[in-house]
Amino acid sequence: MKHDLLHVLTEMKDDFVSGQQLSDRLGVSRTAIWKHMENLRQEGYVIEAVPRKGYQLKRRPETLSEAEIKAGLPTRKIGQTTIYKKSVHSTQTLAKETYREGTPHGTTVVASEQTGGRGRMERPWQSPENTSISVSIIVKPDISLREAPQLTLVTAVAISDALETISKLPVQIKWPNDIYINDCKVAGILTEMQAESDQMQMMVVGIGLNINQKKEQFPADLQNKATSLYIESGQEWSRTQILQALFVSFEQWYDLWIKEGFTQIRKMWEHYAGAYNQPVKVIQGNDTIVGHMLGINNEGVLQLQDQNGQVHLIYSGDLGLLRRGGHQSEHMPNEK
Amino acid sequence: MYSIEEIKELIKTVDESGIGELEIKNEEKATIAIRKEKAEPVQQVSAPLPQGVPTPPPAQTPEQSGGATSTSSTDIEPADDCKKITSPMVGTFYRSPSPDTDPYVQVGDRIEEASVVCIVEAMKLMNELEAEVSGEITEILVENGELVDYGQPLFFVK
Repeated sequence: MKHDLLHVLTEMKDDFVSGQQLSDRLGVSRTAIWKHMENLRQEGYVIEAVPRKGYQLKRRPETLSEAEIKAGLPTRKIGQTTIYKKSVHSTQTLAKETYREGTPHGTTVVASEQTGGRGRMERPWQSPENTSISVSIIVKPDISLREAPQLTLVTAVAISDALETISKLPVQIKWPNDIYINDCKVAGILTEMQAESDQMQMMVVGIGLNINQKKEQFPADLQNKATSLYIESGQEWSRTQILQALFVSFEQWYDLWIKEGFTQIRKMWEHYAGAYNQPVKVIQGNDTIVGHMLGINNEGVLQLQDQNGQVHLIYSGDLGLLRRGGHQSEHMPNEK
Repeated sequence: MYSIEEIKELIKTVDESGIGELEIKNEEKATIAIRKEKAEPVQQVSAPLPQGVPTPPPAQTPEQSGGATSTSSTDIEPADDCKKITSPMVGTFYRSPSPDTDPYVQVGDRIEEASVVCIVEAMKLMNELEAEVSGEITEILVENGELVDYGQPLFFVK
């Protein structure tokens, strides 16, 4: 139905077509036409509606393609092999299924839309067509399993760097790897690994970026927790350009990490993490710890000092910032 | 008291040294003891434990051992063929992919080497742990959501 409607609008080129004409031609009610029109708008189509004249398609959304993504991409490895799908259940699942021993380091799986996108613990992640980016990057680091969790922090730094450079917006990291702009989540990361004994085989870094979504496109319960570059900057962004910037940034920070270790990453991560003097609450395993962040150590482990001055090492867990009156903002990603 | 930095420094020094244990008794500060665990392979598949090796059963009379000798000694010593699956890193142990789904494995399940038995998560890195041993799960040693240590046994497999 959506495609039929698009077909007619495309046919009309610069002419207007009325709701009644569309309704007659496609054999559905005018209400249905209106609903599909709204859906197209949400996907990034610009459709003008003029009283007594009807509808006209002004602009199509920017389409992603493998050729576009790779055109002029100045990386050595990241993204040089790219699998692009218009719509996919989850780039993360596809990346893991595609992976073979010979899969080159830096292979990426990109989708314009995910129908079953997921965050940690299989929480759903909204990645609507044409307005967001979903990408999974396959890397094959020669590191010990002990160092592996650092990759999530490396990725957080790479995303922050790319987004801040392009948009000039103030980007913040919430431990360990959630990306925020003005207290709302703009990007999420899910990292998975495959290892045999102590031998790392590969890691897949899944990144979801909110680019051109409008506020009303987020489900009501996420509208004050999630944001997009469009909402924060008031302008639309080229997804191809952002994806390329992300690949360049990721390669730069990843290579630095492999070559020189975690020290530089730690500095940059702490630069983006801010919020050090704010009390936080962490639920680690079955313990809840309230305290102040002291920073991360050289392995990327969060150091938290509680009211009694005791320092806790946090390897895992969910962190919430405590606001005035002890209200905790439960920052979940595009997760419900 | 020792500062956290001092303690870390001490741990690092012991870690990089050949010594296995360090104890400092300092009346003004505190007593500190650092003991190094034997380096274990990350995902340990334990061979029959040496201390579990049974002393040979009392010599049986030739008549008794007649047809019954086919019962090998390993069959009577379950502790010997008990394998364990250990955690390759510090993190949170999850028995299922999400809170709403069934656990990967239950006690009594048969597993193959490639079977995923749990997730260990650290800093949002999800590590789906493969068994790397085959057999039957006899015991799950850790609760869902518990923090586990490097090298900590998670499952017993027979």
